Amino acid sequence: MQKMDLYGHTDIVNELLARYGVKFGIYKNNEFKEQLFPFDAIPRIIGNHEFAYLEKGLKQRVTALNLFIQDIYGDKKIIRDKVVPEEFVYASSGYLAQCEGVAAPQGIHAHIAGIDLVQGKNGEWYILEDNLRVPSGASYPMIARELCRRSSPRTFQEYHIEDNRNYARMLRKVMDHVNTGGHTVILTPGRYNAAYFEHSYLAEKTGAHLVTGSELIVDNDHLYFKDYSGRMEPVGAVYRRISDEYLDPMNFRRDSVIGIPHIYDIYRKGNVALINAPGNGVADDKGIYYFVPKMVTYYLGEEPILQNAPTYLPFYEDDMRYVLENFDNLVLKDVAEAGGYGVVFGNKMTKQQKEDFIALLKKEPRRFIAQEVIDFLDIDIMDEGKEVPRKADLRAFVLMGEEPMVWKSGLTRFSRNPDSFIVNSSQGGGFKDTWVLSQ
Amino acid sequence: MKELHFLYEMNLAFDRPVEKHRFTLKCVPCSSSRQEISKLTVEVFPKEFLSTDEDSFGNYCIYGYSEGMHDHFSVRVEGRAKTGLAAWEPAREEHCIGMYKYQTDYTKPGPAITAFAGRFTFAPDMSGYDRALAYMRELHERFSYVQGVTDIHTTAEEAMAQGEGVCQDYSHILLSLCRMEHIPARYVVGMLMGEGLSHAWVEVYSGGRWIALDPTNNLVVDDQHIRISVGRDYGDCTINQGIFVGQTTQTQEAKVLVEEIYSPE
Amino acid sequence: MGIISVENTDRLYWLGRYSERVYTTIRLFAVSFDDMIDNYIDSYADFCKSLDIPNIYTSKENFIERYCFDPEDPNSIYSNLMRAYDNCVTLREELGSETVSYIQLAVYEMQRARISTAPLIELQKVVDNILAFWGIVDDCIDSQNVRNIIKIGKRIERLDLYGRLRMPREEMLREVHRLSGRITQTQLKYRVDYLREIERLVEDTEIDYCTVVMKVDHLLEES
Repeated sequence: MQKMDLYGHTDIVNELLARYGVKFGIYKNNEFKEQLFPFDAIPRIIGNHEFAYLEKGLKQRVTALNLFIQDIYGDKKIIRDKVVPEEFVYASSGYLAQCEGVAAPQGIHAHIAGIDLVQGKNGEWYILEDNLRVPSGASYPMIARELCRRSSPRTFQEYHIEDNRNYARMLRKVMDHVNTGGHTVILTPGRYNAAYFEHSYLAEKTGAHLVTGSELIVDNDHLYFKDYSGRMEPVGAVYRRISDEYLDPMNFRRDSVIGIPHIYDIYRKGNVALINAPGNGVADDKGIYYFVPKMVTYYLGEEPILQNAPTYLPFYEDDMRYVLENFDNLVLKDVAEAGGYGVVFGNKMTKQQKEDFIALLKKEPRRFIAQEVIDFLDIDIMDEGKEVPRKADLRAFVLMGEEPMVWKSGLTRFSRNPDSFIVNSSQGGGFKDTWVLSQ
Repeated sequence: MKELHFLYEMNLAFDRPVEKHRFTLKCVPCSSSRQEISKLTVEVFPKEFLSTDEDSFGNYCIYGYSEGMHDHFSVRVEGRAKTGLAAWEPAREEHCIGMYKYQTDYTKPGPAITAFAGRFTFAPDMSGYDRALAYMRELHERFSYVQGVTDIHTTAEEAMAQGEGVCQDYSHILLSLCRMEHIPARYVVGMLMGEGLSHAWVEVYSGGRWIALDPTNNLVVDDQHIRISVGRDYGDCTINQGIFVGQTTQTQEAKVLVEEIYSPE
Repeated sequence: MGIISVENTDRLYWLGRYSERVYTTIRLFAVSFDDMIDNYIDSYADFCKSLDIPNIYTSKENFIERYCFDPEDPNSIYSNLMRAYDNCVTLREELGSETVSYIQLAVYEMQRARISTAPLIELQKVVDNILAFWGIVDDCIDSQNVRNIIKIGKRIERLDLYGRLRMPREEMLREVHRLSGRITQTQLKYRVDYLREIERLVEDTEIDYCTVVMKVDHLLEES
């Protein structure tokens, strides 16, 4: 492919990203710092047909996951029918007993799903992880696209790319669909949250109010937002970017100071929509991940379109045997950890580490999953003017409104370090725009 | 079968006034196949709004808000209960009550509980109820009722290690033992005949039924107990939970009075 | 929308105040800096006194360095700009990314000035961006309420600074006039009696600057 005009404008785009404050926050030595999220101008390009296939598979997967959450906190048929062993549900830290028997408005639990995929060298796409709690990242390609178009209009004349700036409209649609009557707000833990830029940017683009917990109040079984003139404005939908545990000190963690007391009680009564619904962690647990293809078949009666990365559960004897025999070829993940932590590669351990790990694995087999190391299809990035290959994943966004919608873009993250497989932004690394070709 | 009059009173005194007080109360008994509640009155003071709800464990909750400054908060629940209407309560299907089968932070066993459990060998066909009963009998022998040596944060393992505690500890230990055997078991808060404090015991799942055991008194619950709430452990059954704004020291006084009503005939 | 929360009202107001404080103190500093080139080893002492800030500085160089750029000095221009920034980034959905970007740019310029050999030149760019910020506030923000609250902050801050600096009557009159014209257009609660008193005080032959400053500082407090 001929060099795009856009590549020459990488610095300009990064400068503009800085200008608009596109940052994420991190804590270093207990001090809050804001860091720019480095942008690489070489896009990930997905063809029209290929994306149609992904779109179909993603809709299918998230539909099944949503049904699973509904079932787990309801009739639990999937447990009764022994498709998912109950210990994986109840021992999961994402399972919340408080959600038992609670119906989500419009039956939607996973309003915004961030599904992480990788592409293997064989061209096959694999699902790495489902994120159904508060997945972040959509704002970055959204604003990057805006700025890329500004920096290099020529590129966007030459290529026919699906516009990804419709994300805000899609999100608004989802929020309006479940709104129980009143304003829509985005609830942020505050300015010192890692994803604060995203919270404020999505608020700006969707026209929702950005609020912190102290600005909302439960009164007479409804949620209100207090205006400066003292007026109480009803709120019908809360896109909350704080985790379940901190949402309501009267129902979850009692020491939470960023939540809204009793919001969960009125949610239970159907008087406000929470986006995403509490309790979703039960479905994006690394242990449950193994069962997602089975859920697709169970709930939808269909063959799963998208595959998981080949995964083994040491919980099952056969799998444990396989894991021990092929230890060096596998990557092991602690189901309780997230963000690239708790991930170890069999072949990178010392003899002692390996022995210790295997002892732990035998003691707590449910705690780990093992996966084949996928031979990633690398993507080029610009490194000091040269194009060099790096590992990258794709976070696709699936939004559940009246029906599931897949955003025709996504966040492509890459690792800066040539040897690293971990692309999480909290561990260095940058991002790319994801282009879906429209023809 | 008995007909009981019950009274639950709780007074919270603040040495300096507080405001913006949010509270959730689980202190009202409900009718079930085992007990029938009537003539119920509930008073909460002060309050700006009060609402009720049923939580995920099926408990009746009262929640509300007192916005203005206040230096005390009180709750009074009074009514009648017919108890001992049945020996057990029907349970949902076993796959639906899985949450009661797994250990919580309060019940997670350690060396002391594991050692205790090691003494038992059960025949494979022995029912959950019989196993729980065996645990309860043995626990009664080996654990002493002593007040003041444990508090609301004490775990089953900690209590077992020191060999002493109160009804909360007896119950957590029994839950831990049952769950080690994969027997669904739940924590119960309620009132016991006589005058005193709220009481705690356990319900064990066996053959589609919830059967109540009172490990503190080493007995199968009959008609002397009035159940208020159930949950996985103490944490799910907190009688009074609140948050407020103000720097204060609070003193809580609670009183339970349960007396038998003798009909004149 | 048209609804502004109590918190955001507060932030808009302080964004107005701090952006004004940065703007005016840079201009004052530039004058003082010029003074210090020629003589007056401790003219910075007068500067501190006139602004009513503690003179914690040990030398002319120390003053220039710390008063402009020290994040640890709560009275530094840097600290005031960071306060403006902290309020601004939490107002993206009220102000819009375009508007917010000018305060962000001012922060970058400030960071450049800090390591520059000619800080006054770089500080001018901070001023440029603040002026652009006010321009876009006027031009691009649809909500009159949002605009007014920022401007009330700005006007109050300016009057406060001018009072401390004992500015001549015409300047005081103009600023009081601008403030009273604006404040009635908002639904902000303010002390009408204080405003009347300020209007009267600046007409006096001997302006009682101390009282003016005090009344200005308490103008928005409820009676």
